[in-house]
Amino acid sequence: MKRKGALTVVGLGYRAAAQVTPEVLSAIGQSDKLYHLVYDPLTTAWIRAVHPNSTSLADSWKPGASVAECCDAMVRQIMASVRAGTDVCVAFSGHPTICVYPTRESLRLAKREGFKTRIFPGLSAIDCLFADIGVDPGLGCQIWETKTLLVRKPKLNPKTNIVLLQLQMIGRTADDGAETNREGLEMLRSFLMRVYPRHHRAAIYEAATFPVAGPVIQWIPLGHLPRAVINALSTLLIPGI
Amino acid sequence: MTVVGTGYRIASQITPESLARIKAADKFFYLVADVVTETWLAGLNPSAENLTDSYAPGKSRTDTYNEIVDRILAPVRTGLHVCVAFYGHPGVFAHSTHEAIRRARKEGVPARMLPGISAQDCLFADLGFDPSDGCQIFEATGFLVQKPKTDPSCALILYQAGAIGVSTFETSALWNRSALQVLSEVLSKKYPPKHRITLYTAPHFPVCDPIILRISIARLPKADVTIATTLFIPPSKEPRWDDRMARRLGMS
Repeated sequence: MKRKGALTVVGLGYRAAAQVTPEVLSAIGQSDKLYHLVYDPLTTAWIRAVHPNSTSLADSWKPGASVAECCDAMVRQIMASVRAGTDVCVAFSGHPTICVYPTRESLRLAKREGFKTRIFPGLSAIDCLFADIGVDPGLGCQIWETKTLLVRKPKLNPKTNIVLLQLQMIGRTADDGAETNREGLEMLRSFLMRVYPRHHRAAIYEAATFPVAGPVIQWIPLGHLPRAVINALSTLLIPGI
Repeated sequence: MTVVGTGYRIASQITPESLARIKAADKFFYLVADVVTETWLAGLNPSAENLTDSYAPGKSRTDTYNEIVDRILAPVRTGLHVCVAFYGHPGVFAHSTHEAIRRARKEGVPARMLPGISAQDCLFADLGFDPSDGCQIFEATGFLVQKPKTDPSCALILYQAGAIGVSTFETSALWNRSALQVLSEVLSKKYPPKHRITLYTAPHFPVCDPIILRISIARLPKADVTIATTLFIPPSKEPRWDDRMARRLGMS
């Protein structure tokens, strides 16, 4: 028999309420407690309006703490509510199982402890990129979190599209400034230069976060990567050679 | 012109931004995989027109795609606001949508694609797989014909394994069983024959569960595969791990 308490993990997409699917909206509505981590004030305001008992997980980002420590704090907070017998919904921007450690770990714990778990997909940055840049992944595509790519050093196939997520997180702790990113981008550039010519053009892509806004797409030669302006939403698309 | 996706689960995965474009269009086209979704979409806009009749058994899919692009662009050229809805994500395995957008823009008409929840998004959620750990995605026919270099220490996703090498449209659930033998042989050269792979079919109906079958590569030729099946092949080798880099990136 399942224990009292449940964990539902949902994705909100990016454009405030404009990308929230009906099944996600109903999962949010059915929950007793909503935890969320989103990128913009408009989405935060929308969440407060649709759920009377919502808490942002953003307070877990503590100055000086590592990303792993902050994520563990989020997992502890989520699991404490589930273990108390609450029907908990956790909502993240984008897709809830792409690049989101706290949902992955909470789901693992909840399943192991016998709680009911559900996942409803959301539109990911990758989905928005495919639509906005006009890329069809059917023609071949590789996806990596940038930091994982640098550590695992896979054999990249430069003939297919490559999507690199979390550009800003290379070598970063929770409160680092822009300088670390510069160094991280330099490491990424030198890894990519083994496979690509310096002048091969890539797109730094940011999905739009407001309903009527368009995306931001900067095309740069890969050799210029360390000088690129990036933020928490930046994804790199490297088209095939 | 706007191209939108309706998601995979009927009526429950459409985004408000896509729904608004469908309702507001002067002319609305749709192409989806089941009658229930058709009925629902047809009721959203009185100008609704089903594109399914551009497909016919034995007709080349390239001819179908070109015909669909022409059908979509005709009302665009007369100045109407046109919306086209495809199931899943409209830009994933959909030649005609990207082509229609390219041509519309070339003719000076603003065109935009709005993303939809894809079979891949459902797979990531239902299998609990995070693609950021590294994943390689190919259409099964392209994988066999173009022989791209892949890395067995990284997950591999193959689409349309039930339609390998078939360039026409067919009405059966599986379009080419004999090609599964070829796929199984090719995969056996890269992976141990007993390597377990997952056959995944996203659920169409809101209350249904996905179909998830785990089999060995050797059993693929006889497996229950349809054109809606996606193959998920987990890594067979431990990924490399650069300790020095991990320390530099603060990961150890």
